[in-house]
Amino acid sequence: MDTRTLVYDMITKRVLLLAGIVLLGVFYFFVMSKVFQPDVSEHYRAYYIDKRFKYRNAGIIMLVRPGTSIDFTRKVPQLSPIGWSSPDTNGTRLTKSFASIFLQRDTTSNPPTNIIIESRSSIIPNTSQIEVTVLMNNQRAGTLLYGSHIPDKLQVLPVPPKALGNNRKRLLMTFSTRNSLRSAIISIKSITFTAPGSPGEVFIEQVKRKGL
Amino acid sequence: MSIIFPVAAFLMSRVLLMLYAQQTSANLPLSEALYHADVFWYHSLAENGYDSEPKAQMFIYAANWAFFPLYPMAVRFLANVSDMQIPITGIVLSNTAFAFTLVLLYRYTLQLTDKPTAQIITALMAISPFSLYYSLMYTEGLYTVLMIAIMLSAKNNRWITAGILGALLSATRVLGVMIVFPLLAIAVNQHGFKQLLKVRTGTEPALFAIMIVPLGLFAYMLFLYDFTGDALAFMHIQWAWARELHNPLVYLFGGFINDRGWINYNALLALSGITGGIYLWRKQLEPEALILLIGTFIPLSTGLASLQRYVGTLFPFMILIGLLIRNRPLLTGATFLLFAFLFLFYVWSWTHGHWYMI
Repeated sequence: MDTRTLVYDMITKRVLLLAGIVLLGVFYFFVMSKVFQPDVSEHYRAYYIDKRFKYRNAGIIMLVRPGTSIDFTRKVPQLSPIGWSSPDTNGTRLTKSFASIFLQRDTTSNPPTNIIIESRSSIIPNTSQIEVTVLMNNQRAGTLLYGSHIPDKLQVLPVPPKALGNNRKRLLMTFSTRNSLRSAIISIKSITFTAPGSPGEVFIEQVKRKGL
Repeated sequence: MSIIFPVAAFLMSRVLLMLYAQQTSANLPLSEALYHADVFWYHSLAENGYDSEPKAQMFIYAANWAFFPLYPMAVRFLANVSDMQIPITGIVLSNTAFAFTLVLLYRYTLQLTDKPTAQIITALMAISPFSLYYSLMYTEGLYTVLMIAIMLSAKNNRWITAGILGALLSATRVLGVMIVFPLLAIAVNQHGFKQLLKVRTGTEPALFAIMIVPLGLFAYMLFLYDFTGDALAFMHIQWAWARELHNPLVYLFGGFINDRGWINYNALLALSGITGGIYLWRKQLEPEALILLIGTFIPLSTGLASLQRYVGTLFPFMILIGLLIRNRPLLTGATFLLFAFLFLFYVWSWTHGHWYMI
């Protein structure tokens, strides 16, 4: 084989291999573009991709409307995977400084205006008060305060108007605290959504009267 | 003849495995005695293909997308050709791959070290307790033979072969694509980093090989996108097994302070993988060190479950042990005795379906 043929072969091989590298790069880029555009159901996205739920069940989405009450002494599939304990008779305990619950609003009824949070706390004496901030769709609903051993406590927070503005369907509630939870046990027992005229609203009046 | 020793090691260890598995499982057929844990998934995958959606199976709500396609496809193909049952075909394929693994490992270690050490490493691999997994309907057999073949090809400058085998490896297991890093280390050793970066003449085959490795993974991702709508379904479905990425060192530390023995054991093997990787690196075996370090750290970042399988079946782990015990006859004898005992214990545990073996 003469020198010219050798050089020609070398150049051909180089061009072919480099063209192959470019083609592979284009293919990988094309597949990567699909990674960012998943074409999946909302259930799939919420559970497998966003990992919004602690438990998997067939009917993931819970529709809430005024009067809806969520019992935290049982498994609540809509809880975030991180931040919650397993449920017991005291409710579901906050285990991290951040926990959430992912719900959907029933847009065929009026939006809820208040939420009643029933919780139980036990805090080591002489430690600072625990403040748990509640956000609804990133809008501040209020702060839950825990200062001592309280078997059961009812706290009422308003639903921020912006949280469910424009007939918004998704409802992500988050509980966060800057205090250490090492010296405190805070368990949520139930959350009830209310609106004027709903059974829960009457309950709020009773709560206010009793000063709980 | 460099084939006699590894083939003899293969035959002796596998006959021991098969006889003991049958004896300890009350003479069940081998395909049943060895049918536990993830064998179910590979069997269903080879028989029925991929699930169209997650469903309740094997105590969890999941789909079989986490299991890569090459091994079940090969089993399905061979079962169709040979007319054998799928679980038997899986065992035959895995064991054939393991026989080739030992032959290639012997050749590979002969290039790294002297003949007695190469024989120690090959024999260790054959009788290692973790070698049980090479004989099951699991991907370990195919994965390891491909990995050694890739390393051998690259080190002997057969880059295109290495690249094509690498693409097959990345279609075998999720970690397969990580072979690009050891390949890169070999390419840097052969050509130098600057030469590679400037794509100098002569570096193209190595670069092409490294570039073609992810093809298996990306082809599977494209299939998943078309089939499920999620190109990363193989990763997202891991949530069904409660596997999630965290700091591997936190898992490692937690493993040592745990009061369950099998978790301590897994943590110990993970630590061995990390320290062993550092040792190999210091011995200037960078590609082997990378296989061990990557193969330890990535599974460790999802928890300690199955760590003994993930680390113990990495071939550099056996190279590491071989290098540590060579020229020390007493230690070598003790290691072989310990391995033989653990090997039988692993076979017994597997045939009795102990879940710590998954």
